[in-house]
Amino acid sequence: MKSLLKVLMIFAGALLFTNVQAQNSGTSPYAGSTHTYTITKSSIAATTLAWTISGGTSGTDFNFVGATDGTSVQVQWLATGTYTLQVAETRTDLAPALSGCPTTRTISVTVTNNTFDVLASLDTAADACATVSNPVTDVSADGNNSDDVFGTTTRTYTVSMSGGDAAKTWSFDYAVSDIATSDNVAGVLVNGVAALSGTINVPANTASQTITVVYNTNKNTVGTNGQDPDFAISLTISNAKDELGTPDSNAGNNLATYNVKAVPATTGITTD
Amino acid sequence: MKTNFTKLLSVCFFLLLGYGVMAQDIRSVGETHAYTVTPENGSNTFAWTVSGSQGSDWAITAGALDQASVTINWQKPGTYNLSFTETEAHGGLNCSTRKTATVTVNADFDVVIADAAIALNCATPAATTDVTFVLTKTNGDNDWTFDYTTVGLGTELTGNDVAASGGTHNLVISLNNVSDGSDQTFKVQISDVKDSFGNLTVSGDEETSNVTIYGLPNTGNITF
Repeated sequence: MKSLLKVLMIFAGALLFTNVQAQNSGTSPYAGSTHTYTITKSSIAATTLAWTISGGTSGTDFNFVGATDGTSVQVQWLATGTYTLQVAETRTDLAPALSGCPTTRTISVTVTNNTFDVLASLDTAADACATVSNPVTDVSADGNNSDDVFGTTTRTYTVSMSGGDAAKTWSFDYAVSDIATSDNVAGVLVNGVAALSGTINVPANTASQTITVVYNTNKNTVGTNGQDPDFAISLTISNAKDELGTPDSNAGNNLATYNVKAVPATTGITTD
Repeated sequence: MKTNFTKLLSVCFFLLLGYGVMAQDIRSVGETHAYTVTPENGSNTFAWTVSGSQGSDWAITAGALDQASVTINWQKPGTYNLSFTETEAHGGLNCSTRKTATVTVNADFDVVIADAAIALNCATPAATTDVTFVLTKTNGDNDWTFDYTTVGLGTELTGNDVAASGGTHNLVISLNNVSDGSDQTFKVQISDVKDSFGNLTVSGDEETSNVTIYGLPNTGNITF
């Protein structure tokens, strides 16, 4: 019985994988994606190529990206529907009355709704205290916080992709707000790099990407004794797309915010 | 007695008066024509004779040799003597009148093949491209045969004893399209054209002008 269950699970997994592979392909692209189509030209030297699309309107339903007279053509599909992509190879060495003895090749393309979605989410509770290494050592025993180590505060976000073709790379821009390097001199690290904004390219077959914001607690150059304010550390992602240019279909889940409550920047204990 | 004998002589005289009246008739080979006389008396006996051989040179298609009208299909060229004799019996005496005609059957069976309607054309996307040549027959029998061959192809297309019927025949050459998109130029020759009587055409072998079928570009499938 257990073996049967395992077989069924493997079968279901295989079906799921097959379905994923069929997503956003050249013949069933997502609206908004750009695909490349290619033919092998004939052995006749004197020919020209012309790519056309029927069943829709250029600029509304699709756009050719670049030239339409080469062995490859790029098409950005804009609207759902069924279209016919055609290429005609026409001889140029014949009398005009023969119309070039053209050979045409066609494929049917069904453009479907775009389900490619990139979303930002929190790995831990939204509201929590900054991290402090209690008890905080008073390094110079002088009541001065400047050389005391309160510890590091870390917040981790996960940026996930769903509904797209897992076999393709994808990318997004990110920006971390309400915290700045000027506020926390020692370090705001995003994805291992001290940058509050940038572009992340995610390899194929990778469903999610972690972004970690790290700063030294209570090392604020503005607050008294390094006192941090409460931070609302937001991660905003934008311009998400896969390698086919398929855009993010849902902009409503591109923002995730941690509300980090400051810990007191108490000085070292002094005595008389 | 004298009176009856005189009358009989008078009848024979007028019957014999028609002897030796000649007629000339010219026909095409394969043509069918009716020959008719108006007999003096329908109860007399009639007899047609035709030189040559019945069944090979000519054939009766209607009427009969012992009737006032006979329809003859002329199957071979030549000159034929056609004779009609009407005999009236008068007791023991038969009095006959004979009419003759000469029929000349011309050797004019012929078949010509026309050039293709379009000398320069594109191949089709199918496995073959059909090119039609029209053969036109004049005279001879309704049924006829011919041989043909293409000239100019790598592997020639041929046919032997191709059956045709009627005045025209469409010879369709199904040219095998080549996968590399190259052009093919050829013409068609016909030979041994004969009707069912065995008559050969007067013009002999025929051939068309060249036809060129331009290959379609062998464009590969769209991949993505």
